[in-house]
Amino acid sequence: MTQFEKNESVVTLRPGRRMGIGQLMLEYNLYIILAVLLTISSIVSREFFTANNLTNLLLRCSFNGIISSGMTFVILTGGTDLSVGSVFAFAGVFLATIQRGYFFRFMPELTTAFEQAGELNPILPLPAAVALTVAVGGLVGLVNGLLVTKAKMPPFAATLGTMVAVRGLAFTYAGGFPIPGFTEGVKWLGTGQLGMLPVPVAIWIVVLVVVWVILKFTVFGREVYAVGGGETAAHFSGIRADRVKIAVYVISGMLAALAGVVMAGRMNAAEPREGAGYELDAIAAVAIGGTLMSGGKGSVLGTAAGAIVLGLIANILNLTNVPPYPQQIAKGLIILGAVLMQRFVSTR
Amino acid sequence: MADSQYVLEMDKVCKSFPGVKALDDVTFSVKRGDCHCLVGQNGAGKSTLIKILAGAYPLDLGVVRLDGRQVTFRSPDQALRMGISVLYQELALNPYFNAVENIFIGRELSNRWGIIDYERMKREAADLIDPFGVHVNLNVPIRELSVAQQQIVALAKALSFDSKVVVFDEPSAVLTTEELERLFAIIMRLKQSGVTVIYISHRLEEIFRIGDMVTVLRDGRVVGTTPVAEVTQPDLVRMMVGRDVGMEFPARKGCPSETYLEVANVRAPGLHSEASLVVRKGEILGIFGLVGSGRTELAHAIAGMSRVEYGEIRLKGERLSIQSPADGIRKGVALLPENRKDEGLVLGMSVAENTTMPIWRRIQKVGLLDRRELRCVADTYVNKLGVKTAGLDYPVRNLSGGNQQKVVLAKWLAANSQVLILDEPTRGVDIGAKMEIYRLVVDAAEQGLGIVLISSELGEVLGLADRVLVMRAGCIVGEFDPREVDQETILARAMGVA
Repeated sequence: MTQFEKNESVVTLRPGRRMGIGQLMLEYNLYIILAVLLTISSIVSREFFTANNLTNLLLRCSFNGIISSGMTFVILTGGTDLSVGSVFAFAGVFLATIQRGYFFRFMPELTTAFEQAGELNPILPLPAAVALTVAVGGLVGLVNGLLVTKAKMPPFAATLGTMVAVRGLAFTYAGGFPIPGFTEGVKWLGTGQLGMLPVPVAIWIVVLVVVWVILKFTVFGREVYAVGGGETAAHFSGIRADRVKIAVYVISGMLAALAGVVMAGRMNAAEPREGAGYELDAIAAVAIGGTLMSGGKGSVLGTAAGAIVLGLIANILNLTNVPPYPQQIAKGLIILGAVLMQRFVSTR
Repeated sequence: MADSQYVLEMDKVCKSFPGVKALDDVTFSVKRGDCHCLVGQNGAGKSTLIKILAGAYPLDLGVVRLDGRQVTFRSPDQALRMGISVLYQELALNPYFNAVENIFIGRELSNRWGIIDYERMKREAADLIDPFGVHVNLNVPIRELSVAQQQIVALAKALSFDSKVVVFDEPSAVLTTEELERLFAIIMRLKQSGVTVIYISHRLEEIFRIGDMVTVLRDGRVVGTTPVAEVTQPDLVRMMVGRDVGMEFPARKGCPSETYLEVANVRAPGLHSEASLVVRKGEILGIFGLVGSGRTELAHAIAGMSRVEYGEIRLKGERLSIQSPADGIRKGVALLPENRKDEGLVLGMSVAENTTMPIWRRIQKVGLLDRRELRCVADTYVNKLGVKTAGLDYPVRNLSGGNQQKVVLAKWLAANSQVLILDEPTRGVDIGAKMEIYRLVVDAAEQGLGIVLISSELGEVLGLADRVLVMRAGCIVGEFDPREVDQETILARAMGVA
């Protein structure tokens, strides 16, 4: 500690140290992993750097990309949201239902898909139908947020409950079977092209930019970091921590529902089984992306890179004809490795 | 050196962290059966030294000898088994286990069937605890015990290892005066039974009560080691800060004028009778009370951290309905909380962000945070308060305790608070920074804020406040003029003696 006199203004204790190469590598290890994976990909397969394969890769990543963008908010506050996979599935089923002229449709008995599906009868124009579906996802998030803040439940438990319940709701709406057939507009959301860009990828990019701006430049975004970094201190500093926490679950639910809509369009069917395990992929993308699981630190761009890393792993293993079960082993190990490296950085 | 008179010696010990030399060539020897005190400002290297002794950090250079034999601790567990126990401020006990389970955790006694023998453990635990003359319920989870009782449990655990050296890391920070007296008695008894005590404290008067030797650390070096009998408090302070610091409080010029804050017949959680008080513009109202007297609860009720059950809070005659800290801040009532690290600051965020946190919503433009304005405000207050930081974007985690506290103050001044409640503003802050905080508090009052200063340091309350309220057991039990009252009277009132 240096000596200093009263009334002295800001004193620089330590000059800003320049980063060494080692530190740079640690700081940006995620992007290094990404570069290494890309290099490996291009070596193992000639087809990798074809436009076709690359757009396919992004397309595969886009669903997890959209969901994990929402998950980033939740994890930044120190929470977690296990319900996103169920919301993803329910969104498709719900949209299929309103496109058939119902808001509520309970199919307690198992019938075949074709018997129960019914004719398309869109009662709402597409934007309104999609907005309503996304809002329903937000509603599930609202329930999560209220359980976490007002009922003071641990996020893991609260969202585990809604995960199971919403999955049940999806099955109940659908009667246990996929509902085939959507209007052209919905199909376009999943399969359309904007020039070179598949529509789901374009949606992901828009989500990414919006989330990035929110987290980085708005008061709400900084409040998310503050709540995750020290909830009591944030609360005592006049941040309405409960509202912030409710909001992050609502956002997470809305983005999960949006991803579900896009997926339904892509499949041209609403499958109530869809999205099982997606919550774990989303959490993995956030973790690989360098966001602290305890909250307060991280970025959505890291999450996007994390989602691409996950997609790349699958892509490489597919191109090299590794069978699916060993693929999971490799995926698990890479998740562990990436998070381990992040830990190493954050404890330095 | 087998029969050395020193039980513990550290010889030319160095320890660096990235960018900081925490210990520089430290030589430190402790005589068997002494109570050796260790003092120094925050960041002087006390905790690093203790952590090396406890086996929590490896050392870079130098030698540690225990009973004349060179030792290397690779883990806290190993240090403990070789006879060094450290009682940290935050006790390393499992709050959900009872005293017996805590004492024998990891080395439970078992009968010949390999089943844990609770009866025997309980007997042995009682044997360890009884000599302290304090009743401790062995059957309840220790979180239900008082802090002092928990300390006894931690101490009993330390003694169950046949520790040669017991280190107390600022035990007085969490103890009431009465509990502290009991701790002193225990330390005396430890010494009589041949145990060596290393005692760390910010409160110099304690050192003169129980210390045999005192070592002063400054900037990672030993400034000196002397018998306590041969130094005075001002000597120690001079050694700690490296210059003369008058223990005088800044002079007050202005006099309090119209009434700012009125608290009328307020009941809230933790208060056992209706509380009423008045703070005037430019006034410092001191509240003195021991831990558990309800002073923090009163502060929380006023600033919106807890709900007021009934009664009225008025600011400049206008009745306030404060449901949350955010409400309080909007109306101009702010609290500098007791626990700086959990309640005062978001440690991972920067100086600039912490300074402006309450006014983020005020400095946004079309939904976006105005970063230029944010930095400008932060810069103004950081300069005004003389916060020592490597920059506005530096995480507050890396600042010293005193500078962290100044950031909390800067935050409330930047938010244009009218009434500022300070709950133990100088806790865990070194003496130099304390003086600066006193000056800032007086400055704030001179500029027309109403200030409530809550403290368990009598000197501080008497030196700064215009009026002093005393709290005990959830009630306000007296009001004094600090110019006309002595410390004994106030302490007696706070302890319920008079």
